[in-house]
Amino acid sequence: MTEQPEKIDQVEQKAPTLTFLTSDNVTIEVERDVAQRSLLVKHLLEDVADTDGSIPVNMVNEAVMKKVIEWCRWHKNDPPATGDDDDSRRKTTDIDEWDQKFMQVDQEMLFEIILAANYLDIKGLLDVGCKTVANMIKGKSPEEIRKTFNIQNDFTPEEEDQIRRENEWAEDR
Amino acid sequence: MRLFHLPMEIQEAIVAQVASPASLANLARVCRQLQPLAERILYQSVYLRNGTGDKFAYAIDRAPNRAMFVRELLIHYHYVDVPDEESYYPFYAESLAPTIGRLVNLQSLVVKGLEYDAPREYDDDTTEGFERVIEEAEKWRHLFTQSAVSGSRILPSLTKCVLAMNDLDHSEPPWSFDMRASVMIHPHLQDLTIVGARISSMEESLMASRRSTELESLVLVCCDVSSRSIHDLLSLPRGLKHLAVKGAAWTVRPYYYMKNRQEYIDALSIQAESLTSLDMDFPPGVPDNPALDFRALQRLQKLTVDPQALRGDGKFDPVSEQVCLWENSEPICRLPPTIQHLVFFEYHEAKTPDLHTLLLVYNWISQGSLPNLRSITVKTARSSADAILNRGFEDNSGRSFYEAFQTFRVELRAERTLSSTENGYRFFDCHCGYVSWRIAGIHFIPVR
Repeated sequence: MTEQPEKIDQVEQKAPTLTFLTSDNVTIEVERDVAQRSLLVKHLLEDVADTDGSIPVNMVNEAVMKKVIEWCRWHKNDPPATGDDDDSRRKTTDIDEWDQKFMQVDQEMLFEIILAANYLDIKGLLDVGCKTVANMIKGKSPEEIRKTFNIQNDFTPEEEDQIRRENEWAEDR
Repeated sequence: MRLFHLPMEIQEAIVAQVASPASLANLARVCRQLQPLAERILYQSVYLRNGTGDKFAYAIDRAPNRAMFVRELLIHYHYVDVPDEESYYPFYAESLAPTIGRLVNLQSLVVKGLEYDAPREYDDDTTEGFERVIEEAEKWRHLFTQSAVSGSRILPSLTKCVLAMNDLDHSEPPWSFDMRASVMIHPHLQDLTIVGARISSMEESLMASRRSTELESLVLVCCDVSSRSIHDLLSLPRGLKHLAVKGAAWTVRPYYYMKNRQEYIDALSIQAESLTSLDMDFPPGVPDNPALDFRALQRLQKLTVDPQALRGDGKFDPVSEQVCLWENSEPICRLPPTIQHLVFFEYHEAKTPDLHTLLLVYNWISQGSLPNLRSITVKTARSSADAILNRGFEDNSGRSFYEAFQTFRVELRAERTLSSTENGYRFFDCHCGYVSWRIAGIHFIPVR
């Protein structure tokens, strides 16, 4: 009777892993089920039987890859994305608490995570990333948005005012 | 790394998440690079409220390419109490017809219009300003007439439309669908809902478009509609699949409404080749209604109806003041054998669910009259699911109703629904967009 839990432990210890080689030449070992949150990796594993050796992720450096893996590990048991959630995603900018904390990084890192999620095809993470940036835009004046993202205003005041008048129908919502 | 260094599809995904029109309008003013991106999303789904219609028309005039972006347009005007009505009103949704005509990618058009205007000095004594409504409705008629011209570029992408051209005010006459009926000849519209209208006659010129449109679903909510008008409306689609006639435009049942209920079913036979789903209210109140005959609807798969409509109301006995059921022989099955799903939506909920009809349907199944029936859903406001499904079946077999139907592989379900007085249809998120399913104030005649 006491042998049973030990066996489980052993299985867990031997959980199959994958190795990634990041753009800055660092190898990172990850549990296979965590890595498979990435559809790119999942499809790669389906296509290629031999997965010895490391998978190069040329677009992603070590720091970003570690963040991505942290997200995948936390969300490894999430139900897979269905086609239906496209609509519901568009309608809500709610982000769960863990993800909000996870996304409290500088803008450079935030954009890197979004790029990596896009490249690795991790829908959930890409979605959280886009929502985070969208929330940085929402409710801000044009000048505040410029400040937030360090954008130069290339409109004359007259041009800006003209655009404001044209889109005035949208202002009360 | 900067926002602009992200690939365009990601920038678009971010902007799409901004969702708030006001924020998107602000984003459009940030810089030249962001303006087209923000506007592409901003104009995809346009929601116009009191006073914003003209501004939207101005925006489209200023940059016609914005018209290309619009996929959904929701116009939502309604009456509000203001001190200076003369300068505040009117808001006619129809005034936007020329702008709407430019929205070549528009797929969904939802209109909650308003016919109200403050009295004007120059108003005609007899029409009291209604001439303006007629003038506006003409723009609407023109818009849809143009859409039906062969090779037209007017609203070529429109597939869904909801029309409620005035506030639902039970003390006022309903708005006239006839003046705007040209929507019925839009060639590609698939899904049309008309709310709170009086539908009487179709112009002869429109009737020339018989069996020409792609309309698949027609929903009439709280409309004053005769069987003749239903017949006319149904003459235009090539193959209507779904029809719903729900709710009523009055608080008191007019004497003429649905005097002969079978006429309403007979009017549908023009679409019998295609109609697979029917959801129709048959308000009670007039006793001695015979059981309705649906057999002409030879493709009907789903029927939502008051259960009493299937067996008739029975005879009213003035001595006991009750309706006596089945004094004669048991009603025969008047449903087509194609029926797969029956939904019983009780017009007036009794304290106990209508089990008479369930027993009848059981007999019809056992006689082989409903070979394709797979489910019966009882929508009830007052009975619990338990009171229906687990009630003892009345054949001394010890089975419940649920189990009895299971022997024929028919799934009996019970769903909670709103009660008569609650607002059962919601066509958008505002108090003016809620309507009650039923005519209030109709006396329920108890069944013995």
